[in-house]
Amino acid sequence: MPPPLVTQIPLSVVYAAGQVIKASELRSSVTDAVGFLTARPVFAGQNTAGTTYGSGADDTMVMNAEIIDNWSGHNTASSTTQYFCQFPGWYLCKSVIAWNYSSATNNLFTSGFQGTTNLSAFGPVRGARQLRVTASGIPTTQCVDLIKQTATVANVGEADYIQPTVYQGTGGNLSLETTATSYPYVTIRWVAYNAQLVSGALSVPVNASWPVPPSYVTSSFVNTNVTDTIAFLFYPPICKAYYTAGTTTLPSNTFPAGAVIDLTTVTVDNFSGFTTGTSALYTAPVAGNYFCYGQFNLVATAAQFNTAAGFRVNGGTTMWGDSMVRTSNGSDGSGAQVQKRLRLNAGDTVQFMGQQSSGSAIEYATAAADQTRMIVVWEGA
Amino acid sequence: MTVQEPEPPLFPAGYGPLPSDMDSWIQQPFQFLTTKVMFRAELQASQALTANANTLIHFGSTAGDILEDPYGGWSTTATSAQPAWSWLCPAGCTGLYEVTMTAFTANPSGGATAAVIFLDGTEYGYLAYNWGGDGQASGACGGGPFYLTGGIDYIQGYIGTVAAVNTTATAGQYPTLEIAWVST
Repeated sequence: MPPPLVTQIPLSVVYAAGQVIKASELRSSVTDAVGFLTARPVFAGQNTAGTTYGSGADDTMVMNAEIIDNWSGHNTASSTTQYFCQFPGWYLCKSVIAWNYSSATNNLFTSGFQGTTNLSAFGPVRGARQLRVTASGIPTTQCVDLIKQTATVANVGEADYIQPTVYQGTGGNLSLETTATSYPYVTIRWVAYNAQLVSGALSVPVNASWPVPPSYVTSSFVNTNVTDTIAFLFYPPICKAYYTAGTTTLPSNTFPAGAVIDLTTVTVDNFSGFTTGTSALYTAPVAGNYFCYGQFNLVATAAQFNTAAGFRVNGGTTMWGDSMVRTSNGSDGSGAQVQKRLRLNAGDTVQFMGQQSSGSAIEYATAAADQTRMIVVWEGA
Repeated sequence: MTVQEPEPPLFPAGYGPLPSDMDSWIQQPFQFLTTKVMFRAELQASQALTANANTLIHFGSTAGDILEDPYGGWSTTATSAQPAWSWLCPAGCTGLYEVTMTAFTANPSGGATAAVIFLDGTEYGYLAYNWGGDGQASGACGGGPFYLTGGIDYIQGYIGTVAAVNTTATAGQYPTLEIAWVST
Protein backbone atom coordinates (compact mmCIF):
# COMPACT_ATOMS: atom_id res chain seq x y z
CA MET A 1 0.00 0.00 0.00
CA PRO A 2 1.61 3.29 -1.06
CA PRO A 3 1.84 5.87 1.72
CA PRO A 4 -0.47 8.90 1.65
CA LEU A 5 0.79 11.75 -0.48
CA VAL A 6 2.82 14.46 1.22
CA THR A 7 2.10 17.70 -0.57
CA GLN A 8 4.10 20.19 1.47
CA ILE A 9 7.81 20.95 1.52
CA PRO A 10 9.48 19.26 4.51
CA LEU A 11 10.41 21.42 7.46
CA SER A 12 14.09 22.36 7.56
CA VAL A 13 15.37 22.94 11.07
CA VAL A 14 19.01 23.85 11.65
CA TYR A 15 19.62 22.80 15.23
CA ALA A 16 21.79 24.62 17.75
CA ALA A 17 23.72 22.97 20.57
CA GLY A 18 21.41 22.03 23.39
CA GLN A 19 18.26 22.57 21.35
CA VAL A 20 15.45 20.12 22.09
CA ILE A 21 14.35 17.96 19.15
CA LYS A 22 10.57 17.91 19.13
CA ALA A 23 8.53 14.97 17.87
CA SER A 24 6.36 17.43 15.95
CA GLU A 25 9.44 18.76 14.13
CA LEU A 26 10.53 15.27 13.15
CA ARG A 27 7.04 14.55 11.80
CA SER A 28 7.21 17.70 9.66
CA SER A 29 10.74 17.05 8.49
CA VAL A 30 11.60 13.34 8.45
CA THR A 31 8.11 11.87 8.09
CA ASP A 32 7.12 14.28 5.35
CA ALA A 33 10.43 13.92 3.53
CA VAL A 34 10.33 10.11 3.59
CA GLY A 35 6.69 10.17 2.51
CA PHE A 36 7.32 12.53 -0.39
CA LEU A 37 10.56 10.98 -1.62
CA THR A 38 9.15 7.46 -1.44
CA ALA A 39 6.08 8.41 -3.46
CA ARG A 40 7.47 11.30 -5.51
CA PRO A 41 5.27 12.38 -8.42
CA VAL A 42 5.54 10.01 -11.34
CA PHE A 43 3.37 9.47 -14.36
CA ALA A 44 3.63 6.88 -17.09
CA GLY A 45 1.06 6.85 -19.86
CA GLN A 46 0.46 5.18 -23.18
CA ASN A 47 -1.36 5.64 -26.42
CA THR A 48 -3.10 2.33 -27.08
CA ALA A 49 -5.63 3.78 -29.51
CA GLY A 50 -3.54 4.02 -32.67
CA THR A 51 -4.37 7.71 -32.96
CA THR A 52 -3.88 9.19 -36.44
CA TYR A 53 -1.85 12.35 -37.00
CA GLY A 54 -1.28 14.55 -40.04
CA SER A 55 2.05 15.07 -41.73
CA GLY A 56 4.54 17.85 -41.16
CA ALA A 57 3.39 19.17 -37.76
CA ASP A 58 4.25 18.66 -34.10
CA ASP A 59 0.97 17.34 -32.68
CA THR A 60 0.27 16.66 -29.03
CA MET A 61 -0.11 12.96 -28.31
CA VAL A 62 -3.21 11.49 -26.72
CA MET A 63 -2.42 9.37 -23.65
CA ASN A 64 -5.57 7.31 -23.24
CA ALA A 65 -4.05 4.75 -20.87
CA GLU A 66 -2.06 5.07 -17.65
CA ILE A 67 0.59 2.75 -16.26
CA ILE A 68 0.97 4.85 -13.10
CA ASP A 69 -0.13 8.32 -12.00
CA ASN A 70 0.43 8.41 -8.25
CA TRP A 71 -0.39 12.13 -7.86
CA SER A 72 -3.32 12.20 -10.32
CA GLY A 73 -1.78 14.78 -12.62
CA HIS A 74 -3.36 13.24 -15.69
CA ASN A 75 -6.89 12.46 -16.79
CA THR A 76 -7.76 9.78 -19.33
CA ALA A 77 -11.15 11.35 -20.05
CA SER A 78 -10.28 15.00 -20.74
CA SER A 79 -7.13 16.94 -21.58
CA THR A 80 -5.56 13.56 -22.21
CA THR A 81 -2.46 15.06 -23.82
CA GLN A 82 -1.47 16.96 -20.67
CA TYR A 83 0.20 16.10 -17.38
CA PHE A 84 -0.45 18.88 -14.90
CA CYS A 85 2.19 19.84 -12.37
CA GLN A 86 1.30 18.62 -8.88
CA PHE A 87 4.46 19.70 -7.06
CA PRO A 88 7.07 22.26 -8.11
CA GLY A 89 10.38 21.02 -9.39
CA TRP A 90 12.33 19.57 -12.27
CA TYR A 91 10.73 16.71 -14.12
CA LEU A 92 12.62 14.14 -16.18
CA CYS A 93 10.43 13.45 -19.20
CA LYS A 94 10.86 10.58 -21.63
CA SER A 95 8.92 9.39 -24.64
CA VAL A 96 9.24 6.42 -26.97
CA ILE A 97 6.97 6.77 -30.00
CA ALA A 98 6.38 3.96 -32.51
CA TRP A 99 4.53 4.50 -35.80
CA ASN A 100 2.46 2.09 -37.86
CA TYR A 101 4.47 2.59 -41.04
CA SER A 102 5.50 -0.09 -43.50
CA SER A 103 6.51 1.82 -46.62
CA ALA A 104 10.08 1.75 -47.87
CA THR A 105 9.92 5.47 -48.63
CA ASN A 106 12.46 7.35 -46.56
CA ASN A 107 10.77 9.85 -44.23
CA LEU A 108 11.42 11.80 -41.05
CA PHE A 109 10.05 10.85 -37.62
CA THR A 110 10.61 12.61 -34.32
CA SER A 111 8.98 13.34 -30.97
CA GLY A 112 9.31 15.92 -28.22
CA PHE A 113 7.68 17.87 -25.41
CA GLN A 114 5.93 21.19 -25.03
CA GLY A 115 3.97 22.87 -22.26
CA THR A 116 4.35 25.72 -19.80
CA THR A 117 6.93 26.70 -17.20
CA ASN A 118 5.64 29.23 -14.69
CA LEU A 119 2.66 29.56 -17.06
CA SER A 120 4.88 30.62 -19.99
CA ALA A 121 4.68 28.38 -23.03
CA PHE A 122 7.72 26.47 -24.28
CA GLY A 123 8.38 24.09 -27.15
CA PRO A 124 7.88 21.87 -28.86
CA VAL A 125 11.47 20.78 -28.35
CA ARG A 126 12.19 17.48 -30.05
CA GLY A 127 14.43 14.51 -29.47
CA ALA A 128 16.84 13.06 -32.01
CA ARG A 129 15.39 12.84 -35.49
CA GLN A 130 15.08 9.43 -37.11
CA LEU A 131 14.96 8.70 -40.82
CA ARG A 132 13.07 5.71 -42.15
CA VAL A 133 15.37 3.24 -43.94
CA THR A 134 13.70 0.04 -45.10
CA ALA A 135 10.23 -1.43 -45.47
CA SER A 136 10.70 -3.80 -42.54
CA GLY A 137 10.66 -2.46 -39.02
CA ILE A 138 8.90 0.16 -36.95
CA PRO A 139 9.98 3.81 -36.89
CA THR A 140 10.54 4.44 -33.18
CA THR A 141 11.68 7.83 -31.91
CA GLN A 142 12.95 8.79 -28.48
CA CYS A 143 13.10 12.02 -26.55
CA VAL A 144 14.32 12.84 -23.03
CA ASP A 145 14.08 16.30 -21.53
CA LEU A 146 14.45 17.96 -18.14
CA ILE A 147 11.60 20.43 -17.65
CA LYS A 148 10.93 22.90 -14.85
CA GLN A 149 7.43 23.15 -13.43
CA THR A 150 6.38 25.87 -11.02
CA ALA A 151 2.67 26.60 -10.91
CA THR A 152 0.60 23.88 -9.26
CA VAL A 153 -2.93 25.26 -8.94
CA ALA A 154 -5.07 22.37 -10.08
CA ASN A 155 -7.29 24.24 -12.48
CA VAL A 156 -6.85 24.17 -16.23
CA GLY A 157 -5.06 27.34 -17.28
CA GLU A 158 -3.61 27.92 -13.82
CA ALA A 159 -1.13 25.09 -13.51
CA ASP A 160 1.98 24.27 -15.49
CA TYR A 161 1.72 21.23 -17.71
CA ILE A 162 3.77 19.02 -20.00
CA GLN A 163 2.59 17.47 -23.27
CA PRO A 164 4.35 14.90 -25.44
CA THR A 165 4.48 15.77 -29.14
CA VAL A 166 4.80 13.56 -32.19
CA TYR A 167 5.92 14.36 -35.73
CA GLN A 168 5.88 12.40 -38.96
CA GLY A 169 6.79 13.60 -42.43
CA THR A 170 5.24 10.98 -44.67
CA GLY A 171 3.08 13.46 -46.55
CA GLY A 172 -0.18 11.86 -45.43
CA ASN A 173 -2.03 10.82 -42.31
CA LEU A 174 -0.38 8.13 -40.22
CA SER A 175 -1.36 6.16 -37.12
CA LEU A 176 0.64 5.25 -34.06
CA GLU A 177 1.49 1.61 -33.44
CA THR A 178 -1.24 -0.60 -31.97
CA THR A 179 0.82 -3.68 -31.22
CA ALA A 180 0.84 -4.10 -27.44
CA THR A 181 4.61 -4.46 -27.26
CA SER A 182 5.09 -1.25 -29.23
CA TYR A 183 2.53 1.13 -27.72
CA PRO A 184 3.93 4.66 -27.63
CA TYR A 185 4.61 5.62 -24.02
CA VAL A 186 5.64 8.59 -21.93
CA THR A 187 7.21 8.95 -18.48
CA ILE A 188 7.12 12.22 -16.52
CA ARG A 189 8.71 12.11 -13.08
CA TRP A 190 9.86 14.55 -10.42
CA VAL A 191 13.62 14.40 -9.83
CA ALA A 192 14.48 17.60 -7.92
CA TYR A 193 12.94 20.61 -6.24
CA ASN A 194 13.32 24.14 -7.65
CA ALA A 195 15.64 25.35 -4.90
CA GLN A 196 17.89 24.18 -2.08
CA LEU A 197 16.09 23.91 1.28
CA VAL A 198 19.04 25.06 3.40
CA SER A 199 22.03 27.25 2.65
CA GLY A 200 25.56 25.96 2.22
CA ALA A 201 27.23 23.21 0.24
CA LEU A 202 25.65 19.78 0.47
CA SER A 203 27.24 16.34 0.23
CA VAL A 204 25.85 12.85 -0.28
CA PRO A 205 24.14 11.70 2.94
CA VAL A 206 26.19 9.28 5.02
CA ASN A 207 23.18 8.12 7.07
CA ALA A 208 25.13 7.36 10.23
CA SER A 209 23.76 5.15 12.99
CA TRP A 210 22.45 7.09 15.96
CA PRO A 211 24.90 7.39 18.85
CA VAL A 212 24.70 4.84 21.63
CA PRO A 213 25.42 6.01 25.17
CA PRO A 214 27.80 7.10 26.52
CA SER A 215 28.06 8.88 23.16
CA TYR A 216 25.35 11.47 22.70
CA VAL A 217 23.49 13.22 19.94
CA THR A 218 24.97 16.55 18.95
CA SER A 219 23.37 19.34 16.96
CA SER A 220 25.97 18.71 14.27
CA PHE A 221 24.92 15.06 14.06
CA VAL A 222 21.25 15.98 13.64
CA ASN A 223 21.96 18.72 11.13
CA THR A 224 24.09 16.34 9.04
CA ASN A 225 21.88 13.27 9.25
CA VAL A 226 18.47 14.93 9.15
CA THR A 227 18.45 18.51 7.89
CA ASP A 228 21.22 18.29 5.29
CA THR A 229 20.18 14.78 4.25
CA ILE A 230 16.66 15.96 3.42
CA ALA A 231 18.02 19.03 1.67
CA PHE A 232 20.35 16.97 -0.54
CA LEU A 233 17.74 14.37 -1.44
CA PHE A 234 15.32 17.15 -2.41
CA TYR A 235 17.89 18.92 -4.54
CA PRO A 236 20.45 16.43 -5.88
CA PRO A 237 22.77 17.35 -8.74
CA ILE A 238 20.92 17.93 -12.01
CA CYS A 239 22.16 19.54 -15.21
CA LYS A 240 20.92 20.35 -18.68
CA ALA A 241 23.03 22.03 -21.34
CA TYR A 242 22.37 22.54 -25.02
CA TYR A 243 23.86 23.87 -28.24
CA THR A 244 22.79 27.35 -29.22
CA ALA A 245 22.53 27.73 -32.98
CA GLY A 246 25.85 28.71 -34.49
CA THR A 247 28.20 27.32 -37.10
CA THR A 248 29.82 24.46 -35.22
CA THR A 249 30.12 21.20 -37.14
CA LEU A 250 30.38 17.56 -36.19
CA PRO A 251 33.42 16.15 -38.03
CA SER A 252 33.27 12.93 -39.98
CA ASN A 253 34.85 9.95 -38.22
CA THR A 254 35.18 6.23 -38.75
CA PHE A 255 33.41 4.39 -35.93
CA PRO A 256 34.26 4.01 -33.08
CA ALA A 257 36.14 7.30 -33.26
CA GLY A 258 33.97 10.26 -32.35
CA ALA A 259 34.05 13.92 -31.42
CA VAL A 260 32.94 15.90 -28.38
CA ILE A 261 29.55 17.53 -28.90
CA ASP A 262 29.68 21.32 -28.59
CA LEU A 263 27.30 22.47 -25.85
CA THR A 264 27.17 26.19 -25.30
CA THR A 265 24.28 27.09 -22.99
CA VAL A 266 23.27 25.82 -19.56
CA THR A 267 19.60 25.63 -18.57
CA VAL A 268 20.16 24.24 -15.09
CA ASP A 269 23.32 23.14 -13.25
CA ASN A 270 22.60 23.31 -9.53
CA PHE A 271 26.00 21.96 -8.37
CA SER A 272 28.08 23.94 -10.93
CA GLY A 273 29.43 20.88 -12.72
CA PHE A 274 29.17 21.90 -16.36
CA THR A 275 31.84 23.44 -18.59
CA THR A 276 30.57 24.74 -21.94
CA GLY A 277 32.34 24.88 -25.31
CA THR A 278 33.81 22.63 -27.93
CA SER A 279 35.30 20.44 -25.18
CA ALA A 280 32.10 20.54 -23.13
CA LEU A 281 32.01 18.28 -20.11
CA TYR A 282 30.18 17.63 -16.86
CA THR A 283 32.31 17.18 -13.75
CA ALA A 284 30.53 15.05 -11.15
CA PRO A 285 30.26 17.18 -8.01
CA VAL A 286 29.59 14.16 -5.79
CA ALA A 287 29.96 10.41 -6.15
CA GLY A 288 27.06 8.26 -7.23
CA ASN A 289 24.98 6.81 -10.00
CA TYR A 290 24.00 9.33 -12.65
CA PHE A 291 21.40 9.05 -15.38
CA CYS A 292 23.00 10.59 -18.46
CA TYR A 293 21.27 11.47 -21.71
CA GLY A 294 22.53 13.07 -24.89
CA GLN A 295 21.03 13.80 -28.30
CA PHE A 296 22.31 15.61 -31.35
CA ASN A 297 20.62 16.74 -34.54
CA LEU A 298 22.36 17.61 -37.80
CA VAL A 299 21.25 19.72 -40.76
CA ALA A 300 19.89 18.02 -43.88
CA THR A 301 22.40 16.36 -46.18
CA ALA A 302 21.80 14.17 -49.20
CA ALA A 303 24.39 11.50 -48.47
CA GLN A 304 23.85 8.12 -46.84
CA PHE A 305 25.92 7.65 -43.71
CA ASN A 306 25.92 6.38 -40.10
CA THR A 307 25.41 8.32 -36.88
CA ALA A 308 26.22 7.33 -33.29
CA ALA A 309 25.98 8.91 -29.84
CA GLY A 310 27.81 7.98 -26.65
CA PHE A 311 29.50 9.09 -23.44
CA ARG A 312 33.07 8.94 -22.33
CA VAL A 313 34.29 9.23 -18.75
CA ASN A 314 37.58 10.94 -17.95
CA GLY A 315 38.54 10.95 -21.62
CA GLY A 316 38.44 7.14 -21.86
CA THR A 317 36.73 4.79 -24.29
CA THR A 318 33.39 6.08 -25.53
CA MET A 319 30.42 3.99 -24.41
CA TRP A 320 28.08 4.12 -27.38
CA GLY A 321 24.30 4.10 -27.41
CA ASP A 322 22.58 4.58 -30.75
CA SER A 323 24.66 3.59 -33.78
CA MET A 324 22.61 3.50 -36.96
CA VAL A 325 22.38 4.26 -40.63
CA ARG A 326 20.39 6.98 -42.34
CA THR A 327 19.65 6.74 -46.03
CA SER A 328 20.09 9.56 -48.49
CA ASN A 329 17.58 12.31 -47.87
CA GLY A 330 18.39 15.85 -48.85
CA SER A 331 15.42 17.47 -47.16
CA ASP A 332 15.64 16.19 -43.58
CA GLY A 333 18.44 16.13 -41.07
CA SER A 334 19.04 13.21 -38.72
CA GLY A 335 20.58 12.58 -35.32
CA ALA A 336 21.29 10.05 -32.61
CA GLN A 337 20.77 9.70 -28.86
CA VAL A 338 22.23 7.85 -25.90
CA GLN A 339 20.96 7.20 -22.39
CA LYS A 340 22.96 5.36 -19.77
CA ARG A 341 23.39 5.07 -16.05
CA LEU A 342 27.00 5.72 -15.09
CA ARG A 343 28.68 5.29 -11.70
CA LEU A 344 30.96 8.27 -11.17
CA ASN A 345 33.40 9.37 -8.51
CA ALA A 346 33.41 13.00 -7.45
CA GLY A 347 35.58 14.82 -9.98
CA ASP A 348 34.99 12.37 -12.83
CA THR A 349 34.17 14.05 -16.13
CA VAL A 350 31.53 12.99 -18.64
CA GLN A 351 31.55 14.14 -22.25
CA PHE A 352 28.80 13.69 -24.79
CA MET A 353 30.28 12.20 -27.95
CA GLY A 354 28.95 12.05 -31.49
CA GLN A 355 29.95 10.30 -34.68
CA GLN A 356 28.90 10.62 -38.31
CA SER A 357 30.54 8.95 -41.29
CA SER A 358 29.51 11.13 -44.24
CA GLY A 359 33.08 12.01 -45.16
CA SER A 360 32.53 15.72 -44.49
CA ALA A 361 31.78 17.80 -41.44
CA ILE A 362 28.08 18.55 -40.92
CA GLU A 363 26.59 21.49 -39.02
CA TYR A 364 24.31 20.94 -36.08
CA ALA A 365 20.67 21.73 -36.76
CA THR A 366 19.90 25.35 -36.01
CA ALA A 367 16.13 25.20 -35.46
CA ALA A 368 15.29 25.67 -31.80
CA ALA A 369 12.98 22.65 -31.94
CA ASP A 370 15.77 20.33 -33.08
CA GLN A 371 17.95 20.77 -30.07
CA THR A 372 21.32 19.16 -29.39
CA ARG A 373 21.61 18.65 -25.63
CA MET A 374 22.93 16.71 -22.65
CA ILE A 375 21.14 15.94 -19.38
CA VAL A 376 22.62 14.60 -16.14
CA VAL A 377 20.64 13.58 -13.04
CA TRP A 378 22.12 12.12 -9.83
CA GLU A 379 20.03 9.08 -8.92
CA GLY A 380 21.68 7.41 -5.96
CA ALA A 381 24.84 6.84 -3.97
CA MET B 1 23.82 -2.33 3.68
CA THR B 2 20.58 -2.89 1.77
CA VAL B 3 17.26 -1.87 3.29
CA GLN B 4 13.65 -2.23 2.22
CA GLU B 5 11.41 0.47 0.85
CA PRO B 6 10.43 2.60 3.87
CA GLU B 7 7.12 3.66 5.35
CA PRO B 8 7.00 7.25 6.59
CA PRO B 9 7.99 6.96 10.26
CA LEU B 10 5.75 7.94 13.16
CA PHE B 11 7.36 9.89 15.98
CA PRO B 12 5.40 9.43 19.23
CA ALA B 13 5.41 12.35 21.62
CA GLY B 14 6.53 11.79 25.19
CA TYR B 15 8.50 8.70 24.33
CA GLY B 16 12.16 8.22 25.00
CA PRO B 17 13.45 6.52 21.84
CA LEU B 18 16.41 4.20 21.84
CA PRO B 19 19.16 4.66 19.26
CA SER B 20 17.76 1.64 17.43
CA ASP B 21 14.40 3.42 17.18
CA MET B 22 16.04 6.43 15.59
CA ASP B 23 17.89 4.14 13.17
CA SER B 24 14.57 2.58 12.14
CA TRP B 25 12.79 5.91 11.83
CA ILE B 26 15.52 8.03 10.27
CA GLN B 27 18.69 6.27 9.27
CA GLN B 28 17.20 3.31 7.39
CA PRO B 29 14.55 5.22 5.39
CA PHE B 30 17.13 7.76 4.28
CA GLN B 31 19.59 4.98 3.55
CA PHE B 32 17.10 3.51 1.07
CA LEU B 33 16.32 6.90 -0.45
CA THR B 34 20.01 7.72 -0.77
CA THR B 35 21.07 4.50 -2.44
CA LYS B 36 17.76 3.24 -3.94
CA VAL B 37 17.68 -0.08 -5.77
CA MET B 38 20.12 -0.16 -8.67
CA PHE B 39 21.29 -2.86 -11.04
CA ARG B 40 23.83 -2.38 -13.83
CA ALA B 41 25.31 -4.99 -16.14
CA GLU B 42 27.16 -5.27 -19.43
CA LEU B 43 27.82 -8.23 -21.71
CA GLN B 44 31.54 -8.41 -22.32
CA ALA B 45 31.73 -11.69 -24.25
CA SER B 46 30.39 -12.11 -27.74
CA GLN B 47 27.02 -13.87 -27.99
CA ALA B 48 25.41 -15.14 -31.19
CA LEU B 49 22.03 -13.62 -32.09
CA THR B 50 19.35 -15.37 -34.11
CA ALA B 51 18.12 -13.64 -37.25
CA ASN B 52 14.56 -12.27 -37.20
CA ALA B 53 14.12 -13.11 -33.52
CA ASN B 54 14.67 -11.83 -30.00
CA THR B 55 17.63 -13.44 -28.24
CA LEU B 56 17.93 -13.57 -24.44
CA ILE B 57 21.15 -11.84 -23.44
CA HIS B 58 23.34 -13.71 -20.98
CA PHE B 59 24.52 -10.90 -18.74
CA GLY B 60 26.80 -12.44 -16.16
CA SER B 61 28.26 -15.11 -18.42
CA THR B 62 31.64 -13.47 -17.91
CA ALA B 63 33.07 -12.44 -14.57
CA GLY B 64 32.84 -8.67 -14.45
CA ASP B 65 29.59 -8.43 -16.39
CA ILE B 66 27.57 -7.49 -13.33
CA LEU B 67 28.74 -4.00 -12.49
CA GLU B 68 26.55 -3.61 -9.43
CA ASP B 69 23.69 -5.53 -7.88
CA PRO B 70 23.59 -4.77 -4.16
CA TYR B 71 20.28 -6.59 -3.65
CA GLY B 72 21.49 -9.72 -5.46
CA GLY B 73 18.58 -9.74 -7.89
CA TRP B 74 20.46 -11.16 -10.89
CA SER B 75 20.74 -14.89 -11.39
CA THR B 76 22.59 -16.68 -14.17
CA THR B 77 20.86 -19.95 -13.24
CA ALA B 78 17.24 -20.89 -12.76
CA THR B 79 15.94 -20.90 -9.19
CA SER B 80 12.53 -21.50 -7.65
CA ALA B 81 11.86 -17.76 -7.91
CA GLN B 82 13.27 -16.81 -11.30
CA PRO B 83 14.65 -18.25 -14.55
CA ALA B 84 18.25 -18.01 -15.63
CA TRP B 85 19.56 -14.68 -16.87
CA SER B 86 16.99 -12.57 -15.06
CA TRP B 87 16.77 -9.85 -12.41
CA LEU B 88 14.23 -10.48 -9.64
CA CYS B 89 12.79 -7.37 -7.99
CA PRO B 90 13.88 -7.50 -4.33
CA ALA B 91 11.26 -8.44 -1.76
CA GLY B 92 10.05 -5.36 0.07
CA CYS B 93 10.94 -3.05 -2.81
CA THR B 94 7.76 -2.99 -4.88
CA GLY B 95 7.43 0.09 -7.04
CA LEU B 96 8.01 1.79 -10.35
CA TYR B 97 11.39 1.09 -11.89
CA GLU B 98 13.05 2.51 -14.96
CA VAL B 99 14.82 -0.02 -17.15
CA THR B 100 17.39 1.21 -19.66
CA MET B 101 19.06 -1.06 -22.18
CA THR B 102 21.53 -0.76 -25.02
CA ALA B 103 21.45 -3.41 -27.74
CA PHE B 104 24.76 -3.63 -29.55
CA THR B 105 25.74 -5.94 -32.39
CA ALA B 106 28.36 -6.37 -35.07
CA ASN B 107 27.62 -4.68 -38.39
CA PRO B 108 24.11 -5.78 -39.48
CA SER B 109 24.39 -4.00 -42.85
CA GLY B 110 21.57 -1.64 -42.00
CA GLY B 111 19.28 -4.33 -40.60
CA ALA B 112 17.07 -3.46 -37.65
CA THR B 113 18.36 -3.70 -34.07
CA ALA B 114 16.07 -3.54 -31.03
CA ALA B 115 16.42 -3.49 -27.25
CA VAL B 116 13.53 -5.58 -25.92
CA ILE B 117 12.45 -6.22 -22.33
CA PHE B 118 10.63 -9.33 -21.18
CA LEU B 119 8.61 -9.09 -17.95
CA ASP B 120 7.93 -12.36 -16.14
CA GLY B 121 8.93 -14.31 -19.22
CA THR B 122 6.68 -12.45 -21.66
CA GLU B 123 7.72 -9.85 -24.21
CA TYR B 124 6.63 -6.54 -22.70
CA GLY B 125 7.98 -3.86 -24.96
CA TYR B 126 10.64 -2.28 -27.11
CA LEU B 127 12.88 0.25 -25.42
CA ALA B 128 14.60 1.14 -28.69
CA TYR B 129 14.39 0.19 -32.35
CA ASN B 130 16.89 1.42 -34.91
CA TRP B 131 18.05 0.58 -38.38
CA GLY B 132 21.52 -0.56 -37.52
CA GLY B 133 24.83 0.65 -38.74
CA ASP B 134 25.74 -0.09 -42.34
CA GLY B 135 29.43 -0.83 -42.35
CA GLN B 136 29.81 -0.29 -38.60
CA ALA B 137 28.53 -1.85 -35.38
CA SER B 138 24.89 -1.24 -34.54
CA GLY B 139 23.44 0.22 -31.35
CA ALA B 140 19.94 0.91 -30.08
CA CYS B 141 19.36 2.26 -26.60
CA GLY B 142 16.36 3.46 -24.64
CA GLY B 143 14.46 3.23 -21.39
CA GLY B 144 10.99 2.64 -20.09
CA PRO B 145 8.84 2.33 -16.94
CA PHE B 146 8.02 -0.97 -15.29
CA TYR B 147 5.90 -1.46 -12.16
CA LEU B 148 7.46 -4.41 -10.35
CA THR B 149 6.27 -6.39 -7.35
CA GLY B 150 9.06 -7.30 -4.96
CA GLY B 151 9.93 -10.98 -4.82
CA ILE B 152 7.67 -11.82 -7.77
CA ASP B 153 8.36 -9.86 -10.96
CA TYR B 154 11.53 -10.40 -12.93
CA ILE B 155 13.15 -8.64 -15.89
CA GLN B 156 15.14 -10.08 -18.80
CA GLY B 157 16.93 -8.21 -21.57
CA TYR B 158 16.70 -9.38 -25.19
CA ILE B 159 18.18 -8.10 -28.43
CA GLY B 160 16.06 -8.29 -31.54
CA THR B 161 17.88 -8.33 -34.84
CA VAL B 162 17.08 -8.94 -38.48
CA ALA B 163 20.57 -10.13 -39.29
CA ALA B 164 22.30 -13.19 -37.80
CA VAL B 165 25.14 -11.37 -36.07
CA ASN B 166 27.00 -11.49 -32.78
CA THR B 167 27.00 -8.97 -29.99
CA THR B 168 30.15 -6.90 -29.91
CA ALA B 169 32.92 -7.87 -27.50
CA THR B 170 34.66 -4.50 -27.66
CA ALA B 171 34.76 -2.14 -24.70
CA GLY B 172 32.40 0.76 -25.31
CA GLN B 173 30.18 -1.39 -27.52
CA TYR B 174 28.88 -3.87 -24.95
CA PRO B 175 25.15 -4.47 -24.61
CA THR B 176 24.06 -3.04 -21.27
CA LEU B 177 21.09 -3.38 -18.92
CA GLU B 178 20.29 -1.01 -16.06
CA ILE B 179 17.38 -1.08 -13.60
CA ALA B 180 16.70 1.77 -11.15
CA TRP B 181 13.99 2.26 -8.52
CA VAL B 182 12.00 5.43 -9.10
CA SER B 183 8.99 5.60 -6.77
CA THR B 184 6.35 3.52 -5.02
